Amino acid sequence: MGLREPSNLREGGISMRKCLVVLLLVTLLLGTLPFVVSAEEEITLRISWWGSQKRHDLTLKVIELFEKENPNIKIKPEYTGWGGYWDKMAAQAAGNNLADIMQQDYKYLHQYYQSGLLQPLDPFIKSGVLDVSAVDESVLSSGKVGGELYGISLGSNNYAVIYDPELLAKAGVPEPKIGWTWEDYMETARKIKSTLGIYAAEAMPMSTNNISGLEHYLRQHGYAFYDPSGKKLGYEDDQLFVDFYKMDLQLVKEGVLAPMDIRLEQHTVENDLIVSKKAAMAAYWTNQIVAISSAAGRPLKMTLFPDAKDQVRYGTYIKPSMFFSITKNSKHPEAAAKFIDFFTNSIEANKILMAERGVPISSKVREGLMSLLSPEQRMSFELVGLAGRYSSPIDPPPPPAHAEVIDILEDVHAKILYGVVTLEEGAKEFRERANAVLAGE
Amino acid sequence: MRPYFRLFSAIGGKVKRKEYDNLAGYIFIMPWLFGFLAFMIVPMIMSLYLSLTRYNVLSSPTWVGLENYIKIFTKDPRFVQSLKVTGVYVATAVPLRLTFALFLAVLFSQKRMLVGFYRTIYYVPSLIGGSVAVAVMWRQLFGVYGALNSFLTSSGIMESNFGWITNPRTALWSLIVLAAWQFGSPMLIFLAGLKQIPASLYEVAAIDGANWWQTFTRITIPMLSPVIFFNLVMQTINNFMMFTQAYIITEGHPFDRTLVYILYLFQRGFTYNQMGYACALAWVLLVVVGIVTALIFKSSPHWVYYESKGDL
Repeated sequence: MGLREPSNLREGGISMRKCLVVLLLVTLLLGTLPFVVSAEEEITLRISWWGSQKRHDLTLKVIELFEKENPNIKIKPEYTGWGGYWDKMAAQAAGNNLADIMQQDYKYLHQYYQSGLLQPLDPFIKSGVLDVSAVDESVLSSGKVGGELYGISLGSNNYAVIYDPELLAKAGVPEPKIGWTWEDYMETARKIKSTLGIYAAEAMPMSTNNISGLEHYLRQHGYAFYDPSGKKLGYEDDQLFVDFYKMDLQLVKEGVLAPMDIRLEQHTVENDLIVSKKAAMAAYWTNQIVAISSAAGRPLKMTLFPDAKDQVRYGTYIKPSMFFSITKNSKHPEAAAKFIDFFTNSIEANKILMAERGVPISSKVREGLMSLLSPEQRMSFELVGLAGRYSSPIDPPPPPAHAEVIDILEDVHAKILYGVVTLEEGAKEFRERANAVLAGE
Repeated sequence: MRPYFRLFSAIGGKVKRKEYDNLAGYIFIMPWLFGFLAFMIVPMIMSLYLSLTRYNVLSSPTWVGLENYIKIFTKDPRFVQSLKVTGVYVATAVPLRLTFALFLAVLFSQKRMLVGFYRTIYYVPSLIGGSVAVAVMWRQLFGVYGALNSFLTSSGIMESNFGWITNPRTALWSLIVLAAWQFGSPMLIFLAGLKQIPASLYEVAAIDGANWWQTFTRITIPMLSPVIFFNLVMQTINNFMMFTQAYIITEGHPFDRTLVYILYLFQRGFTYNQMGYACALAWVLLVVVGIVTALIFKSSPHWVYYESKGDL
């Protein structure tokens, strides 16, 4: 917690002069730096973020490193847990007192943009303060609102099918590869059941208590889960819903996937069926492979979700775990951009952070960290890297009623599997109830 | 005492002894009074105000009048469902729990070896029964891969595993059985009540040749009826507010079959960020519980026997 001790301050004073000399030299030599921070001016930046104690410790270390390299910038950290963070931000926004840099969530980015609380980052990319040359366009675009960039992603994630290579080999099925189809999935699943006598997986990928499975399927066929307005679902024809959940229902009836009885009991990564070898496949976000492998106590592998035969685009998308945004209250946006650049591109800084906020968005940083990673972490780095090529841009953030829509889907899905309603009735019920909630009734 | 007395006489001029005593009394209960005002009355007033607003926690509440209440009563099928589930739960869990409690209390009121030990042992479930740990254990016990299924399948009673806590047919019952198991505190109250029954009544019955059942139904039950009444009211109110078990064990699944009222209220408030609506639901529950309690009170003259009627 003790951020700086008096001795550090003195050190800072010495290196300030040194650094000034270096800065001047570099400027003279290259003559291309469009912006020189004047050494006389002492800038204080405020940064706010949420997170666990581990994140606080790591971030504070990076701030220290940044201050050492930029002696004229002092950083005042403000951090809390997730709970309470947004209340605090709302109060600060009301008081025109937001920190220069705030950690931002995908769900709130639009809200803050619409309230005019953020500054666009594009000018700093143009002026070269913020270097995004090593970042995929699709990753960058997740922070764009209205064509302008308002947030820099601090890490990436995507969903994946996790499988047990040993069990698959025993069942005599080839390991799934990127580009496999839903038909391949079903065939693999049936073979696991028939040869090993265990469930292939708990459910179709992310189909239970989760919208991502259906969302993936809708996206593959050119739709989005939500209408851009956020006031209704992104589709009107129930056929895709029926098709997707028909696969699930069919495999449950055949005993290939676990019945609802079991699915409703699963609450954590640790008691997933794959952990206890009662299933050979599962579906999770890439960073979760670390947790699930250690729970299982054996190596697991992963690949992207299946393609649809007739797909019009990739269903997979890369999700930003969180962002840094510069707020309109910042008087030193340039210095703030410099810090974000440091956070994004400095390999030294990221060696401290160790992908705690997700897979780093800069390919150079990813390469720089490779040798330091555990095998599971490396796998998730590689898959997120590959997903850059096999994905399409993420849809706009979900509307506020998102949590309720998830519950409705879960409700209807249970009714379908317990035979209370047919697939078609379930699809209709879901669409009508979700639309009513989204319309704000 | 004296300096205070002087202080008050200085403030209020001539303070009579009695007024001074009252004042001292208020000062003594000040900590409690402060807590009551700050943590009960103020939140209640706030909750009443919020129930008339739309409040998503992130931005400030906006006044909508009776909109939340109108919505609850006209177009919220899940409200009806949660009320139904809670009704079934209370109507089965309370009688079951009280029956168990009475049965064991009668058993333990007899003077036998180790009876004190058993009383303690059987009280333990209600000490820990409402806790998260027991709820988690319950999930393990009745889960698809739980102990109950292992026993039933290995002993040949059932052929395959069954999801007791997730299947629509049995889910609510897994919660009711858990509630029945927590019979400890009504049991203690029954025990105390049984000791109050004069032994002479039993002696007279024995002389007249009454058998055990006659003694139980003609003496024990009537004499115990005020205690039964008390337990019934307390348990009914308590069970209307059941939350932890449903939240941990079933989460309202499957398709709202175990969606007890408070769980629904919690979902609205904390999962869907509709705090105004949740507050309105809370006030509706207050009225519902009030009505049910009033009905129980109304019925009491017909079955509760007070020996000392009117003496108070």
